[in-house]
Amino acid sequence: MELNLLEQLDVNGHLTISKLYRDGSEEIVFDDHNIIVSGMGVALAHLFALSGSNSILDYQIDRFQIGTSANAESVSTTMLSLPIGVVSSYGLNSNVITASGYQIVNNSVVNNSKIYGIIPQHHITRVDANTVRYTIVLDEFACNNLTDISGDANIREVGLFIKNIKNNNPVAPILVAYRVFSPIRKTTDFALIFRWSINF
Amino acid sequence: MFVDKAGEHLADIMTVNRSLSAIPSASSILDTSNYTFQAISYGKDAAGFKYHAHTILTPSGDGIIKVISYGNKSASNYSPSATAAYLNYNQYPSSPKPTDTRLEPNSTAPNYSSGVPDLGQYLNPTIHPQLSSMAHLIGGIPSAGGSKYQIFDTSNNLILSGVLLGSIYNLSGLMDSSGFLNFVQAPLDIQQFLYTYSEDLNTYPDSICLGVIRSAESNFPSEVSLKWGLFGGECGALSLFGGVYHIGLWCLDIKQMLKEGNSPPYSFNPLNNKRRYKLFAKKTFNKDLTFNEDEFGLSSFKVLFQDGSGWDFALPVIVLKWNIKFV
Repeated sequence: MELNLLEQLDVNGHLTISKLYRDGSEEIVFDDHNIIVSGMGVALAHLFALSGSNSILDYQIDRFQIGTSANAESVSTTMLSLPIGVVSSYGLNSNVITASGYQIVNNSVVNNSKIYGIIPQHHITRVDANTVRYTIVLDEFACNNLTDISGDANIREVGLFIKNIKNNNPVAPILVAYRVFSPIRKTTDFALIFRWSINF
Repeated sequence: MFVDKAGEHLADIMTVNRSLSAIPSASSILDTSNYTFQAISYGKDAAGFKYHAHTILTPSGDGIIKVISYGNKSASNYSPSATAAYLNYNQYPSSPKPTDTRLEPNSTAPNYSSGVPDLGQYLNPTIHPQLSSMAHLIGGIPSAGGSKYQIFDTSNNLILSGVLLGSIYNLSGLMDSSGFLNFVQAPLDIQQFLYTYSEDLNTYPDSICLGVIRSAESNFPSEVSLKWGLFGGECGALSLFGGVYHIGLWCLDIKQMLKEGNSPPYSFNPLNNKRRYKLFAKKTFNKDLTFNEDEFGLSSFKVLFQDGSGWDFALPVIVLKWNIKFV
């Protein structure tokens, strides 16, 4: 007997990105499905085989990365193309909580320290029996006027990560959902809100 | 098929409150083993719970599993499908649906229904304190010491009788009275060892007698494999009670247990199992897994299922493998 979990359950996601201005007005700049990548399957296989971390919290989506380039949007994507690499880019005065960690790529821990934004517990909402919504807020002090080696850099990609399935020290998150979108130049004029729903 | 409850289970995992880790008395809720596969169960068509060995034949209180064979008169076995054809009842199990929360959605109360829970699957009443005396009517797992059986033809002539092989599930305490077969409770490396050695059952027959084994080896993490045995005693009894058409894969229903005031650790105790289960996936077959027929003039039923036939009771008649693909 053989069953494919992610295919049969049709695990999928939807991402809405909006700009929230100081006057309270909101402008939706992106509204589309996302890509659930193979890392989701890898994480769940570790859980159901009991071959990874002993804490269920390590199998939760609790962090994200923002990037300034674009990878192919395919299930085999394992990392962002150009994730923000320094804490200060997430904004030293912003409310974004950051943490560093390694990353799991192709089921191996890659020992290069990366920066992740943490999704606070109260921004993780059970929408219905099978759906969880993750809200990522880049407030007006976060990710502004980014630059990279080629000059000005716009926000173009975002990824969701499961925390630490292999119970690695330091934590080694794994990419589970990914999306590329039209470049957004983040400034102090607005906060950027990512509302990301995953339907299991 | 993975049912909707599987998705709900994953959403449960994703929303477990992180703050529990700071509360010593609650932190055991976070143990990963509480959220993985924990049980297998067997089922069949709902109508079948009114026929086969569920039919009450006199004397009804003698503890013998009794059945009338409507099949080939010269056969020395029991054919559930021949019974369904002769009595003209619909033997088909219900089609699996994503909304299923049990193996058979319709009532599975047998003819002898006093105090018998309707769980949509085969029970294991032999170890139930109130139901054990009527286990031969409720079905479908025999006792650890082997259960007596009798097969009659339609003229009430006894065509086959004996004692089934002892139940490994009950001898080893692997199944609770609700019919939930437990997983091997051992570290993954030991399960890996058992999984590998159970490929050679002639040399290592005991390797598959400890419950459902999980493997994370050859195709991991693309795939997780489960393997377990259906032994002669179990197979024979299930055949007499109408065969196996459903298999269910279950996780723990943590929320329900917490609601009932049942705190972890959730250890498995077959005689008093406090665990509550949530259906994760089910597989429905259109042919009875216990199907057997005579060959070379030998009774398949006797050879495979009966004590004294020479068949090692610890050797499974059927080895089941269930591969769950994740990537």
